[in-house]
Amino acid sequence: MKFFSVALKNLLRRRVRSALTLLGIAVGIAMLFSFMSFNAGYQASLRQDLNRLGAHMLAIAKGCPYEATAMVMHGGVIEDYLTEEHIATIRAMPNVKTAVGMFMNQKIVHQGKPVIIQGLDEAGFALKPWWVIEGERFVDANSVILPAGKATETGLTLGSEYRISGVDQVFTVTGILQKTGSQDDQFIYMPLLTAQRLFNAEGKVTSVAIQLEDLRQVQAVVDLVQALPDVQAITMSQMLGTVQTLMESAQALITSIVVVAVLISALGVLNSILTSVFERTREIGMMKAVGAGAVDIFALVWIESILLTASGGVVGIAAAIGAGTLIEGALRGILPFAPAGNLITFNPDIAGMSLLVSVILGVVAGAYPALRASQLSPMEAIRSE
Amino acid sequence: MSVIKTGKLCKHYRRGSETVYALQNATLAIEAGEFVAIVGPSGSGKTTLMNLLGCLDTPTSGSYRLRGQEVTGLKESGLVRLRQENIGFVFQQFFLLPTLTVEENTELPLLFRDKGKRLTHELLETVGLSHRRKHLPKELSGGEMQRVAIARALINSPAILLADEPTGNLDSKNSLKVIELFRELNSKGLTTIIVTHNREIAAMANRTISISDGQIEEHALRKTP
Repeated sequence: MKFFSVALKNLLRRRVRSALTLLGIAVGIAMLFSFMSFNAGYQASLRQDLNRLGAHMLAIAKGCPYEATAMVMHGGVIEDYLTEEHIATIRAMPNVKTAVGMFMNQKIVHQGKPVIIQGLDEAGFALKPWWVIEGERFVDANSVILPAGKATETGLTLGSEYRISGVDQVFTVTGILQKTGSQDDQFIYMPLLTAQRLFNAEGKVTSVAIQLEDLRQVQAVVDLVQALPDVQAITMSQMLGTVQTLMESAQALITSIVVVAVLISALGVLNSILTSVFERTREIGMMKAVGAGAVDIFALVWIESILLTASGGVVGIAAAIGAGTLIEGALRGILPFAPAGNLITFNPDIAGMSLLVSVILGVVAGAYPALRASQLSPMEAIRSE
Repeated sequence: MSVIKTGKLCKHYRRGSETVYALQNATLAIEAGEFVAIVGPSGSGKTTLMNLLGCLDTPTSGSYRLRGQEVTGLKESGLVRLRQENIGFVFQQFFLLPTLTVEENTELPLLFRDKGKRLTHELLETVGLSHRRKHLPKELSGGEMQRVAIARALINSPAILLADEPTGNLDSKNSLKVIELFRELNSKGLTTIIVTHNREIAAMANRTISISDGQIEEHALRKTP
């Protein structure tokens, strides 16, 4: 017989209380684990999204940088346009390899859902060499390319008609874009000119995607672009920074919720173990009478506490992994910006760290009850009612 | 040789504004192999005396030598060691851990001081419970539970068995069985001290120490039957 088995049996003696306390810890640790996994996954997905933009920087009409970033990264409406002349000017700048006009806007499709339309020309395709398109790119002005996910969702296939509410023009699906795992899976693509006409914006673009000859010259190009009237340049690192700024307040909120949840669960452990010490005062007195020292009693109570929180940690981590998809869905709903990749990824380091936190909770929460128990006078403990 | 020798042992404590003299000038000696009953009415100080003799409490004044070692002035860790090495306790309420089997309850003191030698089987034979060793306390009668507690008290091979009202929660038939067990253990040389307010139980010991109002009144010697 070992301390461990005595402590375990003692926890099992009060099954309901132990289970509820364990559940509290499990919830706290599940939140912590999900949050840490999310942070890691989020950073990775965000970088991936930015890399898949296919451009080193973008030029857009002057406006709110947050709005611009959101538009660039997952679509949105910007009414201020740049013109074909801007594209030509930027293309002529030193160190600019290509400058491609992009057109993006939003329409309601018949199912009542907003759809982001992106206009592309051949140069636009050149920015996305990794795209795999089933069928053709654009064969005429009525062509559209659907991402595979949207095609499956709407039941459309190559050659299907595609209609947009309030628009007389009937489009034909000429290509299906295979899943890219990035924000590109969320748009509908049509020829640049068609898109411009659809929104009465002929000769205008929402952004100019710029590829550089030499990435070290990025600041020089930024300066040149910013010198154009009413134009601003956004580099990838600025976009990353903007999204991270957007995320900071959300992260601060989530962090405080997680910390509070973990603290409350630790108080639950403290309360549960302390109550059990009070209930067992006479038993503890007996144990001291039959030879237990203060250290022995301390260890017994402490092991109980750590056992409780560590099991809670294991349950919490398992539950968080099991419910990862659900949690990811919930997070996407509340976050100001969510990249397209997996937000929550399983990482053994994070699991280990969460487990360590649960053990530390047991160590901290169990210390006071263990100290109380260890200092009981055997005589008074035996006599207590 | 006296296993227990006290000189003017006193225990005073304060309850509110008054001082309670729980034990005053208790001087006694108990020889190895004796079977002693400490008797007296409720509140007479017999449990206080037993707690002092069992090293569960420290005296206010006086001296106490247990197997030649001075106990007064020892720190808690010293008292723990003395308890482990010398004393087996039996309580009125048995105090078995409900989640442990008979065998595990018997071995509980080994959790805190394992000498490697396990007498569990022999002890359960002695108390007549080897067939119940895998049972939980809730499956036992009061008498059986007390016999498990006695086996537990003996697991460290103590020099002295101290029992506080060991038959207080038992019916007369089970009380008799438990007392018979004490006599049997004593006959093998174990110094046995029982605190009781039951004169019939006390009559089975070979010496009675009466205590009243915190003072030892008489030592009555009886021939071993």
